[in-house]
Amino acid sequence: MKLMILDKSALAPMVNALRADYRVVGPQARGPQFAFDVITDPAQLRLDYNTTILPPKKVLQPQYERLLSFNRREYQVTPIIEATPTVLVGVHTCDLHAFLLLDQAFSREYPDAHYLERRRQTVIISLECLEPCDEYSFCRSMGTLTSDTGYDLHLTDLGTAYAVHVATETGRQILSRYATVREATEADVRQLNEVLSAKWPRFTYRLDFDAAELPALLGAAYDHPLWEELGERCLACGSCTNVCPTCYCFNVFDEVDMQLVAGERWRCWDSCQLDEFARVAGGENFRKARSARQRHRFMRKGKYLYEKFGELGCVGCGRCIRACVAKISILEGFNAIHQSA
Amino acid sequence: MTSNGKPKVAFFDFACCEGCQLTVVDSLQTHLDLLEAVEIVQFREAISDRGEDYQIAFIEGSCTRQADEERLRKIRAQASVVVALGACAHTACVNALKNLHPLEDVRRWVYGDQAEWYDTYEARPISAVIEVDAIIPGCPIDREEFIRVVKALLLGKKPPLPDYPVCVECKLKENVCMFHIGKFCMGPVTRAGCGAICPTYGDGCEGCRGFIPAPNENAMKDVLADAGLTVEAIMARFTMFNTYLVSARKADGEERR
Amino acid sequence: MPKITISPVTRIEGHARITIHLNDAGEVAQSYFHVEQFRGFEKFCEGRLFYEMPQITPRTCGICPVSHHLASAKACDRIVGVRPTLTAHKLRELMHMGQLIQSHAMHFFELSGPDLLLGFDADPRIRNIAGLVQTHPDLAIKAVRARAFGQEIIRRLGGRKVHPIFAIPGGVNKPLEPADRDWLLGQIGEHIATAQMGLAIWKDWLEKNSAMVAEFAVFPSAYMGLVRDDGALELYEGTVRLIDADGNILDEFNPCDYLDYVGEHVEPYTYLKYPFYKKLGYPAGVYRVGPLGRLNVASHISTPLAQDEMKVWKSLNGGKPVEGSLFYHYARLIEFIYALERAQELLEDRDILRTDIASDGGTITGEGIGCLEAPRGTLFHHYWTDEHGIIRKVNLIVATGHNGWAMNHAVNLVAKRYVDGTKLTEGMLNRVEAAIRAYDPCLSCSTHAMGQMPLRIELYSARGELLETLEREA
Repeated sequence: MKLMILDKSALAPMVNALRADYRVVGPQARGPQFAFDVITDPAQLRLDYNTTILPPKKVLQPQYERLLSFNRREYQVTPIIEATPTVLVGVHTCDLHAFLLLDQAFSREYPDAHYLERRRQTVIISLECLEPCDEYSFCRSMGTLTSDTGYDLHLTDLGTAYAVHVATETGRQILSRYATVREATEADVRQLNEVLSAKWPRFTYRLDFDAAELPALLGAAYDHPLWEELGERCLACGSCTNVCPTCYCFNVFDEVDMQLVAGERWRCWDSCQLDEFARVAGGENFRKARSARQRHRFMRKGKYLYEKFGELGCVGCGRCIRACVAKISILEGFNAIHQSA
Repeated sequence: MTSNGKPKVAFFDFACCEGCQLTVVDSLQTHLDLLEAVEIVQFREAISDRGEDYQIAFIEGSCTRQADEERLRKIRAQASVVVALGACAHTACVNALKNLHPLEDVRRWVYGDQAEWYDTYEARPISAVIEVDAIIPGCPIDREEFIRVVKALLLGKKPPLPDYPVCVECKLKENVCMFHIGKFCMGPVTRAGCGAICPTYGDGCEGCRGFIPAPNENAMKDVLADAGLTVEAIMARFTMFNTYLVSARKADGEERR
Repeated sequence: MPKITISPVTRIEGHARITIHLNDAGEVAQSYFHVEQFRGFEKFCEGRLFYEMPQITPRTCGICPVSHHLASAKACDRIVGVRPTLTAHKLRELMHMGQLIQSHAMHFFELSGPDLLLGFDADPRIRNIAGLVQTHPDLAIKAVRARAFGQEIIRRLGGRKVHPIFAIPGGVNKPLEPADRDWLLGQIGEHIATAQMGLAIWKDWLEKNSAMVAEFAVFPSAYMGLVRDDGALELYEGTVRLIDADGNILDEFNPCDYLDYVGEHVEPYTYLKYPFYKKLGYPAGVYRVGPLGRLNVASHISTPLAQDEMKVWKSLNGGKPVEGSLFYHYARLIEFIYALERAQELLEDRDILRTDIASDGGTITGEGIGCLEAPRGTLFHHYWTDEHGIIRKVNLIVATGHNGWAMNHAVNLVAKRYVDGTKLTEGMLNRVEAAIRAYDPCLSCSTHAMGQMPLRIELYSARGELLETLEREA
């Protein structure tokens, strides 16, 4: 599809126009860091953000979500699908890759009506990364530094304007209804190519090997001494998985009223790093040790999800490393396993 | 049960600031349906009546002397369900700070020449004296958690008690990590359920809800040391609310891994 | 000597005991207000790190934790030798107003209101907030809302109504959110009206009971409280002013110099220490604090509605200090109006939303004193540390401590006036209670209670034999 040019001064009017019909969610400052949140004023939108505390996953799979309401007296169960037409602005390409994996996880075998309806109602405007976020990301090694799919519109910063790649019909309509844009000239295309070719050298390969080797490498590392070492350091706080853009495990619980008649069923994010995650009926906990749980996380990210969906579970966003107060690094872990292999 | 089928509930206090019972009073004002669901027969903070035929006993406060034990056992004998209400009952809270000082010094300093009249001893949670069926942690308790526990008891279910750390709730709220802004936090080893209230309001968790079931104490100390705390300051973090638990864990030997 | 012990004093927070000693003729010879739980908290704080104190000390009391929290933070400011930013200073004062509002609202409407509106001699089973809900539902609801508003100021700043997380050495943890500022400002008018309604109820009651009030625990004393530079009422920061029984200024001093002016006397019948003005000695230098003390020492109030009432107050005793214990209730309601007006001023301050909320720490000075006017009176936190900031010694003087002598004296006067030792009636016991309740003692913090005491009434014969025991549970 077409390449359009959106002048930076036209961004705020576009956001305001979108807000009339959509919930607009984008990166905003949160203290010294950033978080995706609902934009109530275009000035809040910070497309210059490096990374966010939580990934934009929360727009498609909220931390807490109602699934259904029930009434025990009337034997009534009513599904609850909480979805709002949403424009999600400023998604980095690592998170786009994560969305592709989530789409598979929530549509295969048991299609998840809640996720899928939100996905259907979400317009994605992504953003090309031109600088590494910080010292924790390794997207180039994971092949997520760019994407040609997964978005409706894709922005690249050209200085005074954004080059807008229009990928879908929805994207085209959004531009025509809500934005003032012009078609790209040859000079714009030339500038875009210059910007894109200039960005790659700024990102270094940080994995010491090809990410495609990860599944096989981890397959041979089940008894690696690294897991014990991580088990010593790990606090089992669950932060690494809670900030991961591809983790999708959840727990389900009920809230009832004081008369114990009516209530709602909720779900919330869960984490395989927590002590009781693998406790099953009968009381057995089959991943009691922190070392076993850390191993499980590495395996999920580098092996299991690949085997299931054909995509690696790690997109190299670096959020888990940044969030770990015990300074456990999945990147260093992968490299250590490679080194000893 | 009363003739109307409502369970009879009583509240008791031992050594505490009564802040948890005040939080219960506030919960009653915002959850009037709670008063429909139970019959309160004893609650010194709120009502004058006094009934002894209760089934559910909420106990606030720590056991700090021999005489408390008898009173606790009497409550235990009457109640089918005993709930530790708040940190003083759950972990001995800041009451246990006195355990860090030689008992005789404290007694002498506090009671002077009448020291021998008073049978104070090391502060302890009520579970050190009687069996406890449910815990509502926190200094003070979280009012929503109180309501959830009451509902579970009414349903005949085991009251929910989060076994994961404060970090979980903090991350789900998308707070900036305290360690990222130069503050210190006990969130990684502290039992959740408060909604990560302290980090949400800009201060590190101080551990008032006690530890998670298998805290990685050594790793937590390493993290705090890396963040710049001295050994004394690290110990202060561990003992501010959890002096009793730290001593008990030491006595029990090393944690599981 | 025969002795009657009245306990507990219901509906005051904390635990107390009153004993009344009779002579052989069955008349009251002397009475004592006992506090039988003991200070221990200062001792337990030794060895802690100074910056823990704003979180540890509030745990002595769930009723007014904010007062300890803020006084402690002020002491810690001095230990690290920093002045909080102006924004932090204003936000702390705003939280303090929240504490005053919730405490004064609760005291008047929920604790002493039942005495006034239902009568001292009403059945204790209905002479409580529940009874008030039955007889005055509109007032009760307004009162609950006003108290909740004060708590809401605290919660929106510090996350929790009890034991908030807010003040730290050098400032506060979190700025005020614009949405919270707007919400609070939107509510405040309703509660000013409630406070004025409370005052109208009081004045009406006073008119109907003027003869009783005039002889109910009325006695001269000195008074103490913080004032601004111009002599106006001040609750958060200021100079300590002491006046004598006639209203003459005895002294004005910086709170940090309190040890030069305030001594503490120990009586064997209580573990409350009785503070006194050193230059006059004990007992000549005893003084009263709290609402009555503050309005007596202040020349005026800076906010308009409260100042209108202050003018009336100053005319009550012809410009001299007001002496009746029951006038604590009157003063409390005027302060209730002031706290709401002051909160409004702070919320309307254009700097209140600023985000410069903390100053960087300096070096450990080794000593810090924090002082403010808690709802019940002047509160001092004084810490000494080593060069690493480890607490070596703690001294706390709490409001109920300052008023210990006055409460004891008030009980004595009321007992002599109303108690007939030959028989115990609810009515006379209630009046003794009412004398105590006027001072709104918060005994769990003044004694730093770490336990509960047995509470009962005992009547002793002249030879010390126990004649009668009357137990009255709360």
